[in-house]
Amino acid sequence: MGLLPPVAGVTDGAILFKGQDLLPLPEQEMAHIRGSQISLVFQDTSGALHPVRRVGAQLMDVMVSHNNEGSRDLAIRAFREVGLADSERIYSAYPHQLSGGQKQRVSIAQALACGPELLVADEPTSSLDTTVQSEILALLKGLQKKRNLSLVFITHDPAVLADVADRIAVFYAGELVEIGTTNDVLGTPFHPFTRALLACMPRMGSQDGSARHLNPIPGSAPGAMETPLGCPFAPRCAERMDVCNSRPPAPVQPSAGRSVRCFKYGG
Amino acid sequence: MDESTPLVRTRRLTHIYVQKQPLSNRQFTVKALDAVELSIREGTQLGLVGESGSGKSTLGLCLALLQRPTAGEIWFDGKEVSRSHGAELRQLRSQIQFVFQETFSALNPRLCAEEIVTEPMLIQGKSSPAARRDRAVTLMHEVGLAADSLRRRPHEFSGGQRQRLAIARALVMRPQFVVLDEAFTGLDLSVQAQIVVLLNSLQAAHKLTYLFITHDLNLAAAICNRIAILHRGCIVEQGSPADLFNRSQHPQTRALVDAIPGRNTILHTSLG
Repeated sequence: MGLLPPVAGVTDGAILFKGQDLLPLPEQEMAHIRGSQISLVFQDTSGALHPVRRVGAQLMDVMVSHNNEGSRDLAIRAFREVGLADSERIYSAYPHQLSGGQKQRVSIAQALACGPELLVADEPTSSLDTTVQSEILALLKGLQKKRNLSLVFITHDPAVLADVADRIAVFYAGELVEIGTTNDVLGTPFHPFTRALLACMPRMGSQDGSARHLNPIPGSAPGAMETPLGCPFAPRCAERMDVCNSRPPAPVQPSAGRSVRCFKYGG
Repeated sequence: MDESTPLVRTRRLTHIYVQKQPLSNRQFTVKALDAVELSIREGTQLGLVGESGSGKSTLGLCLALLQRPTAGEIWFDGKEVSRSHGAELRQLRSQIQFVFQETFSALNPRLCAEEIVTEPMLIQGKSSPAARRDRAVTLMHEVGLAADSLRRRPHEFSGGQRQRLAIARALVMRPQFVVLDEAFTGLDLSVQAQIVVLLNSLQAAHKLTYLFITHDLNLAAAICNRIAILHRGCIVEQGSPADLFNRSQHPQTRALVDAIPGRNTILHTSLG
């Protein structure tokens, strides 16, 4: 999105969007792409909406700034599309009059107002309770199919991804440690971190309905300033080998469409 | 105490919030709890699960004697305690403890870990500085915090460590009953699993009784032997995690079970 503060700027590499590198683009051009072709849904819904402006007007802002057209009718239709049944009332409501789930729906309407091709959702359901979370997930999935959207869904909870994702990329300490289809990564995880993370998930309804056997990962994630010599997960890894502390593993492809960064698979 | 008499029991517990509308001064009321009947046996863990606004936190606050119910009774250890005050209430406070969701506001930023953990001893009186120091060292060890962190202040700890600190403070007076209100929300999965394991081992070591409040059935199942479903201030169903999962009677329970993420996917089927 090109929204990082200067201190955390991208130091190297390229971001290709439809074949074009976004990094060297001047801010003006990026501002055009942002919101109309790539848009973002935030975790904190009350921070994402202006507290003293009506949400309808805030939705129109997005439409006007990119398409130069925005009308009450379009806005109300957009609210209806994200499942806000009472869209006329929502249009003239202030954020504090809405529930967390409604606010997240408004944010989604805003993000989709200009028909983007890529939607980045950063923990969009983490502050919502379970039933509302499942509604928002169903909404995102439905919109993704209907509009043929590409969706990047960022979360710490793999269970949420099981419902929405085609492929899962697992990050640890700033590195992509594993990527593959949802069924592959969740069903037969390769990387020890992925396996350990899945063992942390309380899962009710396996056989006896209890979820009592959790295996937490020992220790804690390395801080941003620590740069280990070897694999960043090595200090917490149950399957650590001698080589793990000496140099970082390179990504390998153990099977088609999958990549993992671990010496166990050749790294 | 006899096994069959519950440690905590409520009878027709009701709480009504009265709010005044600004300007017009019109009053309106919200019935947060509606004649709740609940009992928790000593040494067991009850999960209280419901959607936002169902009254979970109100019930937790009432049972922890932090909020006086509008009507009804709370029985603790064979005594009716909902109207207790003064010395009696202070004495009860050491037996009933509360762990809040928001650790940042629950811990005084100006105190160091040792002062935070031992403050209840100071309030309850009759303790020497040496005794407090000893107790703090023991507790830090029990909740898995390094002994050298006694001098650190809340902002120097991570979210998971702050929650451990809050748990240490809750245990300092050796309570019988601990209310945990969404104690994990906001922690990531691996930290959450560490705290779950910690709570389960503390429970076993001290025969604690928990009321565990959450909106997440999965989490409740990881800690509790019974789960009660709260819906609009009423308990609509109670049972073991397996019962609720496989044979739930009430539509609200069904809705909560259906909302568990990844329920019909490889995550659950692969477990067998």
